Amino acid sequence: MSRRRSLIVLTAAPLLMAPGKCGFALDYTNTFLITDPIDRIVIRADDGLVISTAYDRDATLFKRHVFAWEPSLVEPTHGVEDRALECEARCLYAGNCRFDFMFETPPAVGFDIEMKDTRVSLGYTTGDIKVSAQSGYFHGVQLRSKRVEIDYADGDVELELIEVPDLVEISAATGDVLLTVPAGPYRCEFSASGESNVAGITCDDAADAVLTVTADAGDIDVSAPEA
Amino acid sequence: MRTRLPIALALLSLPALVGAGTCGIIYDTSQLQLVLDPVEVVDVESDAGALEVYAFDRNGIVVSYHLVGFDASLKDVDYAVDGDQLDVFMLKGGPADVTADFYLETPLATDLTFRVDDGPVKLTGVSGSVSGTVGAGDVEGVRLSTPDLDVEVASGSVTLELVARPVRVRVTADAGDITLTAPSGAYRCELDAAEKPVLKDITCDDAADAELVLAAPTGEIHLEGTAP
Repeated sequence: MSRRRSLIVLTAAPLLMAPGKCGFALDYTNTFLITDPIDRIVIRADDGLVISTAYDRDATLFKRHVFAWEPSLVEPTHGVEDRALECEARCLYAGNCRFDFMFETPPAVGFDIEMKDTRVSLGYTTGDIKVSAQSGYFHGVQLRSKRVEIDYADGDVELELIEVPDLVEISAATGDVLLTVPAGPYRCEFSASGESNVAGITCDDAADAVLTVTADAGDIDVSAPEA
Repeated sequence: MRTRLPIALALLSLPALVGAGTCGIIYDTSQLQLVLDPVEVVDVESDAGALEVYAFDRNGIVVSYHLVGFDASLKDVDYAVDGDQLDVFMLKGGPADVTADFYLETPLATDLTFRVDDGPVKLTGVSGSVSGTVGAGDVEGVRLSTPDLDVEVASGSVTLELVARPVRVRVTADAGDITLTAPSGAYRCELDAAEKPVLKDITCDDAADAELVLAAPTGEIHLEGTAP
């Protein structure tokens, strides 16, 4: 290769690479013990994962794993404000950062999560849950939450409630919804492009508890565990 | 020319100086994962490294390990939920050193089975049934309330503190001692040791409803009863 050609290739190299990927790749984990009393965890982040369990404990364990290209990373932050643990993690260029959040919380801590691509797994809490994401999935295990609001543009939702909620609103533009609730009467609003299977519960417009489930391009399965 | 010959010989001998299975990546890394799915049994298989299990009143299981060793000799290290069982494993695939020290936090009443080939085992607060084998390593049990414990150790001693009267305890330490503390009272005993077992505040009675079967053919057996 002539010197001139080499020079052209070298000059063009940064343009050929994806933006924000020059420099170091960062891969690190922070673990924090949050001793301030909190009622909810608020997450505003781009891509990543959230997993949490709840049981009788005093403080909240918070572990955050970051993988990011250094030029793309906006340094993640967290702090307690008005009894909320607020976590923020952003990426300057889409797809160049992953933020994984893990929590072990006292029993009644709720969640308010807004992310882009995220797999959310929450278990055992009695706190309210609100999740909004573009893609990924939601997996709820043995929850006792009174209010659950989940909105995914693309992703499956699997939610297990072991106590009768006041309100459940699930919207999955593309994806299936699998909802398990205790047997009993509910005000049902189900809309699916595919199959809607309902078993073990009764739909009653006079019921107190409300289940609103929309699957624009998917199936809905609502059931109660067999006694 | 004279200086090139030693260099060439050194280069040629390098493969012989390096042990088998030691080429490539060396791990020194830690992992901590949370398993939300309810499981009834945790099964641990470890070719090398320690196992520590702490059971208390919690939801979900923490699986944590510190892995050190050569990638070329590591077959797999991971965990997986299969029905109501959580499998945790580190399997070697070569002769070089690879160890994974596991630390698990489990809910109470979770049953535990394990195979630990080379490393100590420590169990704290476990109240589910326990069944396991250890190749080389001591076994320590702290504040256990398991009703049924069955442990075989090829080389190592076993020290157990039971804070609740068990239904059945079977321990074999082929090359080690057995020290057991349990609520005082009468037990059906089968004790086999190189020396006469030492019993304090525990009596052996064939009509008792709890069983202690302890074998330390080359070691000693110490049994002590505590106030229930």
